Amino acid sequence: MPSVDHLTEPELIDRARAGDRSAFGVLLRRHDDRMRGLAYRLLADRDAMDDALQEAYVKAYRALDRFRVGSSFGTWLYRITYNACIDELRRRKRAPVAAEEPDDPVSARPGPERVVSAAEAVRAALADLPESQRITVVLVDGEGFDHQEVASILGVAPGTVASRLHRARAALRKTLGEEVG
Amino acid sequence: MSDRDAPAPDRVVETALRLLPVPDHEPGFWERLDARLAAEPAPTAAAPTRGAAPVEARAAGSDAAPVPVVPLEPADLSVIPSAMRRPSNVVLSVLAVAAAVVVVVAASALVRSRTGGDQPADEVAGPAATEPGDPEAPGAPDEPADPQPSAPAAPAGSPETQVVVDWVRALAAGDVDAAWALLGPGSQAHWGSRDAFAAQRTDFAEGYGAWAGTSAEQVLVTPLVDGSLSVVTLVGPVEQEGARNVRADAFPVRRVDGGLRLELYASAGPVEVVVPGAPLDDGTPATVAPGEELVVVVPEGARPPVLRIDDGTVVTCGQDAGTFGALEGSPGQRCGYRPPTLTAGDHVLTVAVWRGDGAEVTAHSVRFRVR
Repeated sequence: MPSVDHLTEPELIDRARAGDRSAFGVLLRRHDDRMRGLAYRLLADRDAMDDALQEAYVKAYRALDRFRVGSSFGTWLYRITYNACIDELRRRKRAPVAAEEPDDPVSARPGPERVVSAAEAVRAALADLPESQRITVVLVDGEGFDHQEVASILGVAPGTVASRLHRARAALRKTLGEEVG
Repeated sequence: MSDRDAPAPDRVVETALRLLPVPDHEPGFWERLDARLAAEPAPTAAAPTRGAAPVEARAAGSDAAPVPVVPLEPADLSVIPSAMRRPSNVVLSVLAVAAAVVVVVAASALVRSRTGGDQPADEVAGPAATEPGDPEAPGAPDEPADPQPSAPAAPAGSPETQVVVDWVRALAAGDVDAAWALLGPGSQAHWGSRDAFAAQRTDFAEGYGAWAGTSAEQVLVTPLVDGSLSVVTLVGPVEQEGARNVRADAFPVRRVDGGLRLELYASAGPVEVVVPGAPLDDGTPATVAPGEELVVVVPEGARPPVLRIDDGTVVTCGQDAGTFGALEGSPGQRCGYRPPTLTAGDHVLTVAVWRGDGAEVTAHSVRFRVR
């Protein structure tokens, strides 16, 4: 089968709609970095990230015929992924999210004789936030949405976004200051 | 920033978040995904066709596709009297007639000519398995499905409830003309013709018609549009194929030309109940924790969903306390609701969405259990 890697996004979408899974796979891989970024920041767990993305990608495939030509596939997929992450959070019913043991023992949990990496500290600090604050800070400071958009996404008043964001940032700064500073 | 009052981005937190290394997928992720996709029909082939899936409500974990994208429209507050949307007003919004509405048709009406699989508890029963006019559909048009019922008891309750009772009674009796006449214009248009509807009558008798001959433990009436659109939910044990399942079925009822008609098939699109989710295989309702958010996803362009709990709480998403809604650009409109007080035990959630004046409406009821 000829490679579909060189095809444009609209061409890939057309093929995927007709059932070409390799075309759909190419589409997904072009956006997977961003989807993983969102999922991991929200879920703070690799297994949960994978579970959410499996669901998101299957749902996207099922809904592909309803994707509006001319709109951004990345944004469309992003929204589906966001929904899948929220569902995954609810399924796992974890607030705060349990910290994941990192693969690299050197960057494991902070301890007196161990230098914790900044990245691990960020991940743990995020995981310690209440779900509503974590979502808010990830959407604003991680994904670049403005307050009005986040208010719309979460269905809360902009003032609520601001207060959650304030608390989340304060908690992150405090935690990061203690662990990294 | 579109919100001029919003504080400036926090560069420290922003930088910290970007420092977070994002892991790659576990080995085998793409292979697992490909295997799952291989089991799916091609997206274009999966597009719904008329009559293919008259029951569009679904629960979490089902295989239905997500609904398309749109923000929640601001609701027309005039359509639901404010008092009816408040949790405290039980009297106006609820007609809980526990064990009072007896939908009695001779039990023998359910015994004969049953085909097809079991109807899972908490799913809206219906003829989803066959196409209108499908030559494989059991039974032929106009052939009486079952013996005529003997002296149906007059049901108690509201006029909306009466229509539902009349309809299930007609289905169980194989009275296609009566059942057809009770459908609203949207539902009749869905089937296209009386004959196409009649071809499904055996399935109907097994599904909705199974309510005949049983006593609903609860009948919940949820007003949606000022006396012209409501949802009647029957809750109770239903005998099918010798098995007894507790079901909660939702019946949209609309006023048309001065009369009440069922609009079961004038769908406003699929409704997904994410939380509480689907019942277990044995029919046990999904369990939620006290205070847990109930989450539904409703279709594009529909009015904000109305959620109703069997304790009398009726709320409109995004408008009433405890709800959040609107995910602009998302594949569907997501609504969450955290009931302020929900006692431990079994409950029923009814979700209804509609478009315009209710000519298109989808309603779904699901039982759930609070720990």
